Amino acid sequence: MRSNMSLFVWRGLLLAVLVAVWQLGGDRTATGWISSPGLVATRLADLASGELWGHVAVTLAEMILGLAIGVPAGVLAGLILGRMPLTALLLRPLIVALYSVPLVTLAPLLILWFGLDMAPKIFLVAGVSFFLLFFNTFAGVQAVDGDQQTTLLLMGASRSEMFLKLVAPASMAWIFAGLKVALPYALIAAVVGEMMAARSGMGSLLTDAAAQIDMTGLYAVLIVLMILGVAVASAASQVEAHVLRWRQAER
Amino acid sequence: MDAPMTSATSTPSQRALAFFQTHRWALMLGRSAVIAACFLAWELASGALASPFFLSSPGAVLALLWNWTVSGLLWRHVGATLLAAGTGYLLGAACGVLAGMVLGLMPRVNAVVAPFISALYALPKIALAPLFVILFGAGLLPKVLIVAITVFFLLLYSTLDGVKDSDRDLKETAEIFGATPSEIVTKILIPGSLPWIFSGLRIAVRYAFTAAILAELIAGNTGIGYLIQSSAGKFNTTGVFAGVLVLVAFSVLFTELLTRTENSALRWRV
Repeated sequence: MRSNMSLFVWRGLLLAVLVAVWQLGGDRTATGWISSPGLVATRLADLASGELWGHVAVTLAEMILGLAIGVPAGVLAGLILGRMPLTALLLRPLIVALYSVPLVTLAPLLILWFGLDMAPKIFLVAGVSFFLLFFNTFAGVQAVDGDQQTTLLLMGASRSEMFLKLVAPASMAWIFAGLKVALPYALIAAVVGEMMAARSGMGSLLTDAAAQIDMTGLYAVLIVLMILGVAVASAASQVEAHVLRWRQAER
Repeated sequence: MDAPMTSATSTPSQRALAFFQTHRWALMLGRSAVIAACFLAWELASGALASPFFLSSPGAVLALLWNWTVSGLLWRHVGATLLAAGTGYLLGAACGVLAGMVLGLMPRVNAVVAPFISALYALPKIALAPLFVILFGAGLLPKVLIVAITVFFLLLYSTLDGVKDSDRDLKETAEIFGATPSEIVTKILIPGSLPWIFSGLRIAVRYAFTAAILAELIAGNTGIGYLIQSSAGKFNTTGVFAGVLVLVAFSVLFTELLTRTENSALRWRV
């Protein structure tokens, strides 16, 4: 308990030192490149009493809608293709190409297709999460124990029984692992899409501040993005805890 | 590897699977046919399903790619991307391993700074691009920094994991046998964490490439990402597709190279 207390004291001290150094640096240099914690805090309070929530809501909505499309579709595609070895064998070059390519970089194409509003960002998040979930589910289905399959087959299981009782549950840990990766990626995809072309959302707030060389605004938005990132990361680790619980139960 | 089913129970699709698995030329042919079919569908869809303005067409894209190749434009941009990704990778990996070692050896310092590091790690790194462009100007440096920061965190965490997971019994045994702290570091902790560092280095290659492309999309004036973004800015769909195909080619190349080196190492992961 005591060591826990001292840990928090040290952390608080470190934070205080960092903020103090930043404040001193900002006061000493007149150029304003590094702004200062005081200015950033005032700006954050300013933003929080006004437009910030609308932008946060847009970014979150893009993430949630994109995930709601991409995750179930990816799981379904992975389960289906995982049970079709012949098709999977023939499609392999395409699968490898899609697996290799960083899909977030397709943002310009989607913006070209779907315009400046939320649609291209939703599709970007959906595309990225679809493939992450697809690859993980596909790998999960491939990893299903062959002996168990043979046993079920010998016991006269039908295709649907095989699927519901063995393949789907066995792939579950892989699916959750994919979800854990997909969550932070969804935030990255939404923000990248907004940074390229948007009228609202955290990414556009960031590029607006940058375009006006408003350093205080830029740092304020970065801090909000960091908080969003931490929230998403902790949601992802909740998912991971779920997976680990699963794996322990398996043993 | 699933053994092919016995012929008594096999369906036509199982027989076809077994055939493709045993005849490499047939598999190559089948796969080529699938890829050809995709390009054919694209060619047919362009104009019929959607205007070439949105879909371009394989012919136009290949012509443009040929144009880029002979004019040398392609290699200049590919070179810029590889330079940014490579420099950032080396810088980020070196700093990441060093920081991971230092923090791994000082668990109490690590406990204090851990939340600060994970907060920085959670920030989408690409959001730093506008800041770096303002501070350092558009060009190589912001790209290198974005790549370096991305790689830094990956290597920091894999090195930390490595140091934490290296064999405790071995360390205690060495202590009992009178090893000095520096001997424990050089003879047990560093070799023990090497597998983690190597796996981090492998994973980071793809992240470095992605980060470089993303940085070019947002704030580049050269590179494959810039090629895609500037084409999109001119509503030149053909240019966008050509850039994406270049990206696909290099991504597949990296993945192939990595899986070659990775095959033996992957077994103990996950």
